[in-house]
Amino acid sequence: MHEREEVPAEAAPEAFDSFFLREHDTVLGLALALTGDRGIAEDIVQDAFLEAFRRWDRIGAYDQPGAWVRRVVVNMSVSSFRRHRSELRMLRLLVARHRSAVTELSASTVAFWDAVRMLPKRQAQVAALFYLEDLAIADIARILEMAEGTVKKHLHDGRKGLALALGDDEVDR
Amino acid sequence: MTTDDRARRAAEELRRSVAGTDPNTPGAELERFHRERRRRAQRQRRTAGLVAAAIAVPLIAVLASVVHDRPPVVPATADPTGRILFGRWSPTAEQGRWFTANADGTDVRSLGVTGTCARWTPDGSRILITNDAAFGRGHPLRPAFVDPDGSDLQPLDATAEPRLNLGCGDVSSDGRLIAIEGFTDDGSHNGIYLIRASDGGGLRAVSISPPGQHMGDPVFSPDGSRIAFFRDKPGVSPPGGGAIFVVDRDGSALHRITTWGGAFLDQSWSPDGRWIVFQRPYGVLTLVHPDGTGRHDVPLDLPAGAGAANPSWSPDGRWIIFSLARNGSSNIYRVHPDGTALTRVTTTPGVLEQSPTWTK
Repeated sequence: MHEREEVPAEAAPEAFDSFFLREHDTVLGLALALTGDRGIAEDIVQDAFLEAFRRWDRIGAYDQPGAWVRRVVVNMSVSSFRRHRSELRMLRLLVARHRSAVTELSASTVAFWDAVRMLPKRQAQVAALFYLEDLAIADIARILEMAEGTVKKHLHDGRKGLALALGDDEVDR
Repeated sequence: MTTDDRARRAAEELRRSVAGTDPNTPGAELERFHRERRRRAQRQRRTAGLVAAAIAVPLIAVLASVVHDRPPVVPATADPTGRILFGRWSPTAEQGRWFTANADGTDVRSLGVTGTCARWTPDGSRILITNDAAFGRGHPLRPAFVDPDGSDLQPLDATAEPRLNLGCGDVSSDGRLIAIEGFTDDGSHNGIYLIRASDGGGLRAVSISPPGQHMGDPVFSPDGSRIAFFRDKPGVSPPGGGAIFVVDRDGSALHRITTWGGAFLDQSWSPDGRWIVFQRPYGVLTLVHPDGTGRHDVPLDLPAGAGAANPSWSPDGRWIIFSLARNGSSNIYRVHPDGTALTRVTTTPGVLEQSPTWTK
């Protein structure tokens, strides 16, 4: 990744800071849902906001800069098996700071997000945005840059996959 | 309970777990962000401006590690020979930078290669890598060979399947085949495959996983007749855990040799073919016969919070080389299979070194 002088910081620092404060926790939750690891999630969120900061003169002018940062986070969080295996390879599960994050959550919650992460990439992204952020189909489509019909298909397939993995009989919405 | 009920509860609990990390100081996360941003910028400037100091850095790192990080070390019983290959992982780039070194850790050389995986060919004449540099839209992941100094990249891209990525692999002892993990974005064709070592063509499936599951890190038995690989599936505990399977090269005689959840990625056959070493989650080196019998842990006396991963055998079968993680970083160590003579091989502090393999 190319480093460059961070000119946008001088251009609109308050705007970026307020954006960060508004979005940080939600975006961190999204990254945590898709990675299952607090340390990795924090690294991804840091990188995503750093990219936003560097380009803030352009991204800050978007109607929904939050959609941009979410797109970056979901793409960094779930990037096919390469991502899955690299997370495993980072040895972070051997490091105590990462264990604490897992134990904060109940077993049923951990099992649910584990099942989400085992879905195919696009289904996992759609499921995380749908359930965690309660976003409308149109908003998810905008974030993931796909047609609304495609989002619906991934959501349908993802819910079926989750029901199967979790032993549930039905879905209700 | 329906899936949507379960989802709502899981979402609410996860939201609570990250909300207001420090409610008394709502700007704390923002302060941390800017502090880390400034630290990265300073590091960039420092790196660019201090090229001449690079010669001194290894010496400083060694001294620092001696002072601050001294795990239990037993003197080696014999001087090992050969070269090791290992990666330094970049969490941001999701790739490793690959290095070789003498088996005693001296003469570390960068290959100038980045990638997810790298492994010596059986004769040590080349290194099989994942060609991550060529991976992108319209260009699925493929392997490549490089020379031991990182030069002369030979892409192995004769397989034309555009949706199938071919990742980490292992070359057979006769040098003719590569056992390799395959995966697609939708998880529909994840599995273990064989390709020709000459050009990467001749794709053949050895074992295909159910949709959404993963198979990885195939390694040939020393005689090339069998393949051991890692597989996961939904609901396995602990997170990241799976099982090791062994299969004949033609896809027959598939059998699981560990419990589900009893293994992690990265396993290695002993040179005599009698043992497979792997990591039992989290951080325990374990030996098992290829038929699943004789399973026992390598007795390592590690400090609290430390763990071992990515084990691989030395060419003479006297050592297991592995990554030892501690305090958020890892270095390369070796140990005899009976747990004696634990020896630190690499000494750079603050890095994530992993996936060592060893050649004569």
